Amino acid sequence: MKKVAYFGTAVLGVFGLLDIYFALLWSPPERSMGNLIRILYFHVGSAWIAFLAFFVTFVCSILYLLRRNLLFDRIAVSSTEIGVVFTTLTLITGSLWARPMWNTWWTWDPLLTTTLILWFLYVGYLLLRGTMAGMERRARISSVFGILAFVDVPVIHFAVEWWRSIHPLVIDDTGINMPGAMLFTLMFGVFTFFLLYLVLLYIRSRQETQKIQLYKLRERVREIRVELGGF
Amino acid sequence: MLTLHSVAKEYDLRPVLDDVNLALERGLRYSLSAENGSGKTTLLQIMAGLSKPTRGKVLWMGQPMSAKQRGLVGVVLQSSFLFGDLTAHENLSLYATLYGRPGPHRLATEWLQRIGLEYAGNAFVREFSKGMKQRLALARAMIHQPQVLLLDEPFDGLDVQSTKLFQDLLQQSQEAGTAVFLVTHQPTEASAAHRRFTLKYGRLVDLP
Amino acid sequence: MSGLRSFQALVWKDVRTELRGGRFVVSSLAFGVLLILVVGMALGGAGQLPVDWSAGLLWLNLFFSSAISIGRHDDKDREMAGHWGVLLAPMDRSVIFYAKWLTTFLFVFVAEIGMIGAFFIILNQPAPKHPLSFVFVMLGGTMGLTGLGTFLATLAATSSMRDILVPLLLFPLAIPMFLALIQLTVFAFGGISHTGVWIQVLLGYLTILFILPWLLYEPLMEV
Repeated sequence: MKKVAYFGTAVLGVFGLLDIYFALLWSPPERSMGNLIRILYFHVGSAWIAFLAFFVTFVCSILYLLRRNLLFDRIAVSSTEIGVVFTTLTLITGSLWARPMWNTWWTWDPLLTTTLILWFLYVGYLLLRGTMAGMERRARISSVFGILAFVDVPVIHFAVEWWRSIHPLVIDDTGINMPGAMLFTLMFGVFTFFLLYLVLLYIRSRQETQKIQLYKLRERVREIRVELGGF
Repeated sequence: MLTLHSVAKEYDLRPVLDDVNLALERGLRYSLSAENGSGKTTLLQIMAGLSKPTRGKVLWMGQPMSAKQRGLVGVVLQSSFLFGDLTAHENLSLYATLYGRPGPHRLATEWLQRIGLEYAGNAFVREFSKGMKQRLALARAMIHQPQVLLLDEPFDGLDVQSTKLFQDLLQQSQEAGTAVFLVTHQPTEASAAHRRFTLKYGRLVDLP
Repeated sequence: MSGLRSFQALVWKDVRTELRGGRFVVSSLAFGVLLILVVGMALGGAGQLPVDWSAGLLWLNLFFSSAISIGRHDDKDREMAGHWGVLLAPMDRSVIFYAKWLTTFLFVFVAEIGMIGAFFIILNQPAPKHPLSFVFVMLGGTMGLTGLGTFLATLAATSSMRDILVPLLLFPLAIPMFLALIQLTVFAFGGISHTGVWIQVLLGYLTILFILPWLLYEPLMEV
């Protein structure tokens, strides 16, 4: 791994340990839900990063279609993969939080519902990619879908919100009272997750690039073999 | 007319075409003899405007090829580009309309006569034999009076009569000023060309 | 204008092909009615469903059966690579999309009429209170559904999992439209007294579907 990655991971390690300390030990329990608030620190961090990851995919999709440089495609797919992981974490932590709070595994909370739809969109992106031949074509088609999907996300969110306002459930997303210490922990968590995203994106994109380099080397070996008389 | 400048195409990052330079001139015949997998189909697709090159430019009279200029190119590839559930006449008038030719129905009838398929004008293309489809494909490619004709092994599997028909039609259009670019394995066809090429490692190489 | 004539020619081609035994309409209709039957059985033969539910079920069926049939909408074109031949023509390639959208809309709508009939009969639903609104919702919804479906079918055309990918990608992308159509149908059935924001959502969707393909169609159509 390059020095940048080593350094980044080290910094991430420090922040990660600090975050665990802040989230699990240092910050106070919340007034109504007690220690359950702690799941929220990871839930919110995952959610923001999931959305950020798909935004990066969106930007890289546009850049690919304009520039036709496959580097953008590699970053896009790496970001999407990481995004899917963080979306899954968001959904799981959301569910784990909802159960003790309201005795149900799923709430039709607009953000949570939008997140689930987002999960399907980007799993679809990966499935679409996985079943296509030809790097250039795959990148082109994925980029078109990446743009379409991201543009649709705000529309999906607003539609779900309006829909929910028609079907109010007993479960209501009341604002959580956040004194300073808790707010700090939340923001710190988000920042730590952001660092985690950056490190993962870097490593994953590098991996894609290295795959290409390996592939090119293999092709070169094959060509040389053919030139030397096919063995 | 149609020129390629340093055209390169990669597929899966493998170079299929590399630094291809080509300038087609009116009324000349060009032949390309190349193996399968050498990039000949890709080259034709790029010249037809179906694919975009990874690098390099495809120009028409010095300007980048636009949608309108696609209409000046006629293409016959391995698939016939026909619609099986339409009749031969309907296929030709459809393409004549798509290419903006006036009087598409009249043109379709004319061309059916020229390729000797006027008896099958109202038959569905899905019932046609390979030879009939190929003849119809050539008519489809020529119905809009293209200035450049690109053909991928058009004589493959044709009977003697159809081969003669094709040769006559190509000769006529050449005399009318069309540049004919032919991919072929047959040495007789290749020898009739003004310039001959092959593709080696994705590069266009002149043959003596 | 050559674009218009090309558009007409492409629409005519699809309609001709379908009238000559294309069986798109028939198979979509059959599948759609079958789904309604199965839903009826799944509900234990229930009659008087609450209007929220029946509107939702109607659109669920329409979306599902359409998502499955739309994937096949250009199978005939691909048999002899006719769809490539059309790409060679000197016109804006988005014309190809709009023509496909129109013909898919026509065929799906015809199949839908049968499905809607089955819906009212098999599920024993009362007639809509605002029939004109109901017709508009059906038209608008089918336009949106076929527009998005056509675009995605083209997108996924070269994928080996095309038949499952079209519904898989269509549903999440179409959620806002799905919700809007259900609410508007509830209004048409007389369940609520005003349409709220949902007409804007539907119209917004249709607008985006008119514009976005025109922007994204060229990279989509390269070979």
